[in-house]
Amino acid sequence: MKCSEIRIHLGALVDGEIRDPALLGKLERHLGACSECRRELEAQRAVKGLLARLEPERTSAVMPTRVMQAIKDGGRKRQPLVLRPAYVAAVVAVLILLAGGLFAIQPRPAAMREVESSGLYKELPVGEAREYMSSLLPPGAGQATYSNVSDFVVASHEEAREVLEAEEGWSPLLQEIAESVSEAEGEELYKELPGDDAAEEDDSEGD
Amino acid sequence: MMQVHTAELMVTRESRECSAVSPPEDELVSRVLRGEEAAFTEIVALFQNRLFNFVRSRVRNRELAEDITQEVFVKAYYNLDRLRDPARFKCWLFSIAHNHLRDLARRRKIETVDTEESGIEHYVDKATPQSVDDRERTAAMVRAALSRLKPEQREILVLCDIEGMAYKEISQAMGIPLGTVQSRIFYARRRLKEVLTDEMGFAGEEI
Repeated sequence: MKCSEIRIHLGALVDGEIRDPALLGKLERHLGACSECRRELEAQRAVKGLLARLEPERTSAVMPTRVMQAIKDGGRKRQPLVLRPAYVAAVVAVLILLAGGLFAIQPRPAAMREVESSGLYKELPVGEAREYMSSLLPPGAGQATYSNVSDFVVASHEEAREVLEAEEGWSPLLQEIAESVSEAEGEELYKELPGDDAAEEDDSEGD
Repeated sequence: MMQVHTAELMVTRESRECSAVSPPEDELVSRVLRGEEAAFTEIVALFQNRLFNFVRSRVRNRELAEDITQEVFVKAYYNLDRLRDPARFKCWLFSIAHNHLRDLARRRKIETVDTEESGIEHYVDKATPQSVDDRERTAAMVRAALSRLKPEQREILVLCDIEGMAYKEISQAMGIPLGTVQSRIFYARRRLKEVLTDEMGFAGEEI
């Protein structure tokens, strides 16, 4: 093995992370013959040693109190799955798309990534929406199709209903989105979705 | 040819995976999930300094780092029932912190460590008085050198060499492949050594 191939393993060797006996043997043989690589190994070990001796910086002693107070001030329990921001964002985004044909809406990238990762986009209708959705599918996944769209719509509404029933405060917002009539309104509502931290901070900055 | 035994060169460390042991937090997490919310106070106390140090690898302002640490704990609390294996709590907690810091940086909500202002002159002015002993001086120099690394390099060295996390744990916490963990650690240590010796004139016998 060349030195460049050996050296990339030296950090892991110092860390005890190499378990392949064959590779360990190669490293031993090479290190026995190559002073440059031995120096590199010693440097890795020395830096690790310096870092390991750093005293951790201590945070405030009242951190547990602060955290529990923040939780108490939040006044909410841990959320069930249907109320998680990513899940709700996905359901609501689907509702926007299904309800108003608002395909021109381009949610912000962070929100869009959450929607993509939910997998809910995979079976949306034809046309502009399908092209748009297909562009979000992983490579090799092909076109989004109509095949299961009716089941998908039903399932989406079932999920949305769970959200509506579980969190009264969001009900009007979600219903409004589902019945939204214009692109501008839909986009405005989207900005107000719970869990969209970026939008919340943007709003607070504007206050 | 010099005989080199890799076992002697390695820093001995028990190979750990996130689910390989049942750490104290395992039971604490289970207690919180059973409704004993006070157990979360113990979790915070157990991890507050470790998490804070990780956050500080990306955030220069101490008060802001404390706020972010608190936010990460609160996020963890509200999402605790998504954690499938309580024994993996530490990885999971650091992954929340990693993602939170990444999001904040992307939205420019945090002032990351400023590498331009942590030069040797700045360091020497503050850390070379005779009252500062060698060990503290070395530690200060290592911290100053760390601040000159790329954020992802600082993070991974904190997790590996200060936190003592195994590669698999780091892979899970940072959401990167094992091979990337290995190469990033290697290059981060190499870069830290360069900064210490070539840019800061560190002449400690350790390196």
